[in-house]
This record gives sequence, structure tokens and C-alpha cells, in this order.
Amino acid sequence: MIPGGAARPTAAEAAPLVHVLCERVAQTSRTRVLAIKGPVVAMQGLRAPRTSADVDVLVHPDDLTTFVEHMRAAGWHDATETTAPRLVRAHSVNLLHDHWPVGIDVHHHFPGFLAPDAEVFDALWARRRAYVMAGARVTAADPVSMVAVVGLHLLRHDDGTSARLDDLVGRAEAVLGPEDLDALLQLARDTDSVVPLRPILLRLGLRRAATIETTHPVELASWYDRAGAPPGSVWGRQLSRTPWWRWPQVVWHAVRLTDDEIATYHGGGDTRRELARARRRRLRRGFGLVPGILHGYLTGQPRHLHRH
Amino acid sequence: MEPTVLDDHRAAARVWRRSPALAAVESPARVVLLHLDHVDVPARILEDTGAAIWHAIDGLRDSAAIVATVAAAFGIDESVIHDQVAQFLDDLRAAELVEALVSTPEAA
Repeated sequence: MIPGGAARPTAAEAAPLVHVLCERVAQTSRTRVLAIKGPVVAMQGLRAPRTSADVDVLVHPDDLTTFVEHMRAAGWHDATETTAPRLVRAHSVNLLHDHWPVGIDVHHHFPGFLAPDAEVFDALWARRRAYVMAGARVTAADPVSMVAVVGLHLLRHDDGTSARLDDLVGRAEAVLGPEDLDALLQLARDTDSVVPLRPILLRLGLRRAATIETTHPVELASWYDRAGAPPGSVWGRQLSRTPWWRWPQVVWHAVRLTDDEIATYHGGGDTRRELARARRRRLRRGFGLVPGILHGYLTGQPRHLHRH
Repeated sequence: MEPTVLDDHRAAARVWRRSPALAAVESPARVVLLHLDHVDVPARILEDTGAAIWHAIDGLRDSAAIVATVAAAFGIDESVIHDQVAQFLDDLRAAELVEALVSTPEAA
């Protein structure tokens, strides 16, 4: 008997194929979609190969609805939306498929690029490059753009000193030539991400980044609000905006979340026992977030909190 | 509906090649295939002998040559796997993952 096939691809197999799938859907729906982060970064030499749980694409904001509708027609469905408060506005649509072990984050905004989303996309799109993944062509951000994208992703939770950031800077120094570095600074100016990217740009020797300021101060304040926030602070900020008599409700919600959220974001399974186990795990982790929650409570400023 | 099993004569007359509209992640013992014209269809996963058959499909081999290649790889007599390989190739063709070309004496 010749086996017809196993049930599902592995995550390592799925990542390149799902990128190809997105590219195909973009072609058929005539939408502009760029592969960002993920396996392309390793292909560019900007990180070591590793398996990730999600595939990330950046879509032109005008094309978001069309692209997502076509993905739904291909069997993908929206992931459960988190009911936790957010420090930044919603910036992606998360899609899942029963067959594929990786989700897709369809970004229409990427935090740290402070210019309007369409301008950011156009700047990245102008530098797009084709890569071959799983034997098929995928349109992706080029290495210059990818340093900015990955850099901003890391700087969301980092003050510029982590090992992962060291790795990105070291690899960028090896991959990018002098013209690329100039292009990186220009891209950062075009997308108004010089200030958020400054820790990386300065380490890459782009001293001019030290004196370039943002033209979008409100967005920059929101970025700093998020980038400096320790884990858990979002709940503290939520408490600081809630009348004290409603705190038990907020705390209960923070502890419980919904079954779907626990299953989607915290490794819970389908059975009650698996959900309970995931809840206990999350609760144990939650005790470690108490300093962050206190920090969020003490620094909470209503003007910086955005709920989706 | 039962898949059509090629008889010896017809099977031997065909050269098999992979569909050009495919994305594939391949290793020696496992192949994952996504048809680019049917992205709503789950990826097809081939393992072990299925993967070996896939690797033998190179646009040059006909059914008999594929059977011989796979039989040699697994140390099996060709007659044991002949019909199953033929049926498997037809399954792949029905899924539009491979194409069967008529082999002519000139082409050979």
C-alpha cells in the first residue's frame, strides 16, 4: 500500500507554503501583499533559520478587505479576537485554517512606522524583491526594508540591548553595504521611523539618525507608550482607567478571559481539562507580571490607551 | 468512483512530469505539495514510498521506469508494486499534481 499522505504539514513545512499561498491569493485578488519577517529573514541572512508559529504579511491598507475576503474563500477564518485591552491600535487580522498549523498575521499597519499606512506600504513596496520559497515565487520586503521591519518588531519589547537585537545589528552589518545603509536611513525617513529605529540606526553607524525628529508626534508618543511597557502593564493601565468598584470585574476578566482566548493565545486545548490546565499555567505566569501591572497602573494615561 | 488503473501498455506509454503550478517542500522521505490553482485544497503530503515515487517523477521517466526506480530503492520486485504505482500516479494526475505525456519513439 502506498500511503496517500499524513494529516497536516509541520510548521516548518507550512511556513514557506503559506507564504506561497498568500502570494497566489494576492495575484488572483489583484492585491498588494509583501512577505515580512519569517523565513525570508533567514534567507536574507538577517537571522538564523527557525520555525515560527505564524506567517506575517503586510498588505496595502486599501487592499486589506479584498485580500482577507479571498483568504476566507480559500478556507481561512478569523482567529478569536482577544478581549484584553491594547496599548496600540489593532494592526493586523489574524487568520487560521484547520489544515495549516501556522496562522497568518495580515498586517495593514506595522507599529513603529509612524507615517500613514499607505505611505509606509508604498515605500516598502517600491523596494520589494522576489524570493523562491517551496519552488515558487514570493514577493517580500528586501533586506533593507526587512532590517527596519524586524528592528521595529524587536524594539517593541526592547530597549536596544537584547541579544536578538545584537544579532540583527551584527547580521545587518554583514548583509548591507554602504549604499544599503544609506537606503535604510532614507526608508526610515520616508516612513517616519527614524526615532523608533534610532537605537539600531546609530549602531549601524548612521549618525544622521541622531538629529532627525518625527513629523508624527502623537504616533511617536503612542509608540513610546508601548515600547517601554513591561509585560502585564496593559492590565494595570486598564485598572487605572476603571472606577475602583469595578476592579473585581476587570481582575476577574484578566484572570479568566474567554475559553476561545485561552485556547487561541495561551495554549489551551478543546477539552475542559486542557483549558483548565492552560488557565492555571497563565495564572502562575500572571504572578510574575505583578510588577508590570503595578507599573501600568502607576503610569496609566488615558490619552495613550486605545481599545480595538 | 474507483480511480482508473492504467494497464501495462498504456502506463508504459506515458512519461510523467510534475505540474508546473505547484509549490513543494521536499525531503527524501516526505513531500508536501500545494497546488497553486487550488489553494483552497489542503496540501497533499506524501511519505516513504509515495515520496519515492514523487522523486522519481522527473519529466523523463515513464511508468515502467518509475516502477523500476522505486522497486530498486526499496529492494522490492517490480511486479509487486507495479499496479499500486500506476494507481498512485493516476491519483496524482486526478489531483492535477502531475501530468501524463504521451511517449513517442522519437521522443524516446
